Amino acid sequence: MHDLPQSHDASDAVVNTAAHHASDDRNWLFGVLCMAVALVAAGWFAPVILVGLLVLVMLGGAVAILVALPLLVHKLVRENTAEDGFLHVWQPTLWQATVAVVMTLLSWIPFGVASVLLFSANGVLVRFLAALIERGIQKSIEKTGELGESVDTMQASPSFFIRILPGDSAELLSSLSAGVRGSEQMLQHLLAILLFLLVLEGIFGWIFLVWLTVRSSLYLIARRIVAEAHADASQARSRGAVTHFHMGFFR
Amino acid sequence: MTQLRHPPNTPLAQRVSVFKENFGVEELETVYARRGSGPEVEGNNRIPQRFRCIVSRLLSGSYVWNKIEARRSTHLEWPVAASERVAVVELRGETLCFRMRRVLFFEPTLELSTIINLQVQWCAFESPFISCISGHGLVAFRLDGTPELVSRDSNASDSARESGGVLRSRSMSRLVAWSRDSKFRTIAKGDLFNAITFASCAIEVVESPLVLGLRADSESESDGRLLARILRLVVP
Repeated sequence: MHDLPQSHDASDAVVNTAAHHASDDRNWLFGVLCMAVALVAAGWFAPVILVGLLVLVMLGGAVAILVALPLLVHKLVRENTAEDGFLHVWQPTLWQATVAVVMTLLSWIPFGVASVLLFSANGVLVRFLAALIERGIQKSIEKTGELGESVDTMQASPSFFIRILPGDSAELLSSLSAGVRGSEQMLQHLLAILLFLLVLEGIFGWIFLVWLTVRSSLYLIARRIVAEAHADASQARSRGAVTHFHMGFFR
Repeated sequence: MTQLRHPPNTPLAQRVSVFKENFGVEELETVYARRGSGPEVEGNNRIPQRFRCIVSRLLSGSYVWNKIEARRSTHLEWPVAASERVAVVELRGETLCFRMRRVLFFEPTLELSTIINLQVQWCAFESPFISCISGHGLVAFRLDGTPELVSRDSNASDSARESGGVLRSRSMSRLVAWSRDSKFRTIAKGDLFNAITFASCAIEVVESPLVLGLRADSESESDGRLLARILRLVVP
């Protein structure tokens, strides 16, 4: 049995909540699988649904970033200007602050340029692939369309050789026409899905670039401040900034 | 029988059991174990607390866990590799910050969470996103070498310092888990090289009920692994 303190009602609540979470794991997984199947089906029959969802997700993401950014900046300032924060311990002169900012920018430039080049190359590659796939599949669609038109012509005025075929030639041509039209539609859907995947790749690529830019700027500026502060041994060693972990998500 | 749970009123630092050989887990009812580790029981994949620590779990390959119901098996043993140690911490309402890739198992009574630390001295060397675990129950960590347990009371005299001996600095990358009440002082060289490169830094434990780390003599995770440092910067 669990050796939990007897007086803690709150701990019982934790146990119950966790047990509840564990019991509906499978249901949740099943729900996710159903959602994925429904999305693929929706995208297959009407790609516009997937595009609409993507736009909604992007709008949601943009709103979340707009809301979170000021909170994070506030958190950054507050955590570092608190009583034992770094900017409380290290109070630079205007000259020191300018040097820190300029040096950070200088050290960030090679990294920033490399990332922008890398992700631009990724964008160019994605566009090239998209054009290649579009051209290839579009050709197949055109050929299938031409085949469909030939079948339609044959259906409208069947030739002698078609008429002497055993069985119902009209029914045969009708099913052939349906098959060809189905293939054409399938190729169009395949093209839409492939292009959609490439668009997704591009979006995730740029999101990652934004993350890298934020992270590298934060990293370099933090390193610069730490280095500048520690360069002044009398300040850094005697008072010393202390890292703590009491903060919440946005607190 | 292995004692994973401790008597009441035991301080957090003494509620840590370190194993270098296989140990019995009969005391556990149900645990979520990292897939591919633990006793060979039938796979039972689950996603506990699916919206908690999503990124760190996905990146450390631990979004899906193996649910082990130990009570159903008799003489169930947790295997420990020859080069490894397993540290089992019993939490009683405390919160531990930890590295997700180190977690071996945790009880369902514990809750995962994430905090964002934007203190510059932390962001300069570590990811701002820190995984935490809290509640009442057992959590186990995999250690690739000799474990180091530190607890320090800020009111203790300088001579008393840490429970493990004299106050000394240790590499930040060797931290495995630490209490959320901890306070660390960062020690870094103030030169240009350290400002723009992946040079590591050290920390001094100013105050903490528990810091679980690896001794510097461990060879498995060197401080000089450039790839590990780059990944720490690139990966959220």
